[in-house]
Amino acid sequence: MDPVTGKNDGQKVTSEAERLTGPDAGRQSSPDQAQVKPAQIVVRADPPAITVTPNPALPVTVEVTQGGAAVGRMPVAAPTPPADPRDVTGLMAELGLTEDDSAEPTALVLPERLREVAQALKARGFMLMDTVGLDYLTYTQPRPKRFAVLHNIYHPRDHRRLFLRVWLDEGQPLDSLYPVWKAANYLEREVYDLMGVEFVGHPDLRKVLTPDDLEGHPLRKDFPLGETPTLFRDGRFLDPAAFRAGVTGQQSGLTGYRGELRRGRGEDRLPPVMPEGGPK
Amino acid sequence: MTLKDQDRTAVKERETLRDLRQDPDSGTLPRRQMTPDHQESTIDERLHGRTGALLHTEMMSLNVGPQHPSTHGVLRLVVDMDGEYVVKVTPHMGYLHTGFEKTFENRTYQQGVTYAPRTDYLHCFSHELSYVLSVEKLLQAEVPERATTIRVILHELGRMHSHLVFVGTGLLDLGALTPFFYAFREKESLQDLFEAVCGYRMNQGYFRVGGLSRDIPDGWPAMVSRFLVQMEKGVQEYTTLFANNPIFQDRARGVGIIPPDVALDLGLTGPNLRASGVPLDNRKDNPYCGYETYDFEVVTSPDGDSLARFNMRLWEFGESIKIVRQALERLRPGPVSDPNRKISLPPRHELETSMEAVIHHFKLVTEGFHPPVGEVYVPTESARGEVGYYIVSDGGSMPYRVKIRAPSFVNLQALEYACVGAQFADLITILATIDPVLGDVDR
Repeated sequence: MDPVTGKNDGQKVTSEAERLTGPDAGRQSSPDQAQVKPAQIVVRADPPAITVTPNPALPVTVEVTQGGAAVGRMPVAAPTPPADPRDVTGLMAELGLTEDDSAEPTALVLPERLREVAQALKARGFMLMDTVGLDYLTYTQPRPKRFAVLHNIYHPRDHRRLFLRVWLDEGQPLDSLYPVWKAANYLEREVYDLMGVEFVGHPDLRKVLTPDDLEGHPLRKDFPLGETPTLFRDGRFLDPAAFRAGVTGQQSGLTGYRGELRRGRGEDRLPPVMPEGGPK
Repeated sequence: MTLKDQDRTAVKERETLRDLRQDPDSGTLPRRQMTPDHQESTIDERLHGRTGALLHTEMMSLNVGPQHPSTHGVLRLVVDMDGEYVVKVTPHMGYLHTGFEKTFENRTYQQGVTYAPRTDYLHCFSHELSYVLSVEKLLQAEVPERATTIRVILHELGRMHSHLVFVGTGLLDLGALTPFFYAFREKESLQDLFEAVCGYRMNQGYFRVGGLSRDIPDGWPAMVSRFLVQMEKGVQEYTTLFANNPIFQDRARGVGIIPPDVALDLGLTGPNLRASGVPLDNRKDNPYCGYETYDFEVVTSPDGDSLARFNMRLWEFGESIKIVRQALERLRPGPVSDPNRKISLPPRHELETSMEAVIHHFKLVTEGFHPPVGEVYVPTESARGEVGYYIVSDGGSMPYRVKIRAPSFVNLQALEYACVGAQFADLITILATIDPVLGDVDR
């Protein structure tokens, strides 16, 4: 019994019929047969990009060099015709999207078209798996814009996966996908929190992972990494450099923790021990 | 309509609600409570909703957690209650946020294996596996057959480990103390197996990019076989202990129903989605590590309630046992890491005789390898759902960006939906069956 709505059943039946009569007739496309799409790896060794499709039938290999060191063996073959039931090039053409040259099937979407595209995908039965925020500030190769938001879209019945990539400038807001998929709620909050992309139309755009008093977006590439002096609520002040000096035993340190005990001083602060004969 | 009439209507409504909840066949709350817009409780709901009939009542906000055993970690819930009924749940997470994704960006690829298992500390091997698979896809590394088989065994043992904790602590939340001890008996045996193979009982970090850190010890497959026999007996015990227990069934049946369309809308994956009847399992649908060659079933249930989510884990024990049995039969002697010296460390004995080995060792330890530029994602199936590492490489020896698709984080959204209209005690049941791991939520 298929417990999902009749609509999905109908779609499934259609795809079954297509499988039997369509150009791919005879190909196994049932989910149980577990088709594996060959991994497409794009090596961007400066333009022009080379598309490499590993094909076990053709054991030609090249050494891919990066930074002077040879890494990995990459079997090279001509691009295979799109006979894979999980191929999304047809879908992308249907939605008027351009394909991004990436290892995963990625479509470039303009920010203003994102919600419309998402609604079209939702109508086809896709679900939202993940939202990835990316900051290309220090990327070694030129990118169109600083930020990108990737939506990981997946079809739970025919197992097609598509990444929607939206390029964004700093401070440029993006339409929220919450009206399309409720799953976008936390996912977009996370991107907002860690990457600082604002989502228009999100009903509850709050920080989700970092503390309320943290300023900035930690996953941005210009977020400073390092130690911060901390003032605790009880008035204790911790300067990282002085703290480290304390624990290495060179100075008494500001915390007074362990450092002086190790050098034989501060016996009055020895930790309490169990008295002879057990607790009284 | 007088005030009294209104009260009577409210009482009647509540009784129908209760009847509906206790009838296993209807098994659902009134449809209007099941609207997808579960985020906000409307003014209308607050003023004219199912308020207490004969008493003066008002909405009450109740704080649950963050330090509470039944929140399965450090999760704070602010629950808006109308009498005994939940109107709105607002989870506050982030207490365990330690910035794993930022840490990944500042460690070499091989060092990242240390951080991956610490996200989901109950099914560590899932995150480890997902991470190394992504890096291997980037590198096009060749993982030897033996390493893949051992990975499958450990991946499934890890799934059992996670489900055992689910069974133990989930029932503990419902007030049943005994199953905890039964489940943790098997869990201890499992942790002994993990300890034997890599020295750690949790947060193993045993996999390496291109294979395993070392081979399994002698006699380990026999230990696993013995454990599987014990586990089968254990599953029978859990079934008789609680799955057929009427008290437990009353607590769980019809509680927190998530219909399949809502489950997909909320992005649920894993046993929680399969409990709603959608047979999505990456081991079948996006096979990795040769799962397509193993004979096992994807268990689903059409009910979508807490009982289904409980039973889902019990049934999955059997499938995991089947997979591990098959994998043990396939175990053949052989290498356990990619022979490519640009990826794997050279064997220890070669360091004394070969200068090249020393150089490779030095380069790998100090700098690591440089995968080609690209962005990859490999979905895997953990005990909680789809785990995937979206890794962006800029050609350096450290990942440019790592995004963890954490199933618990997405699954937690179901809490806001499934708890509305339930009683407070049911909230604990629903939270237990959604089974979030807060390390996975907060990362």
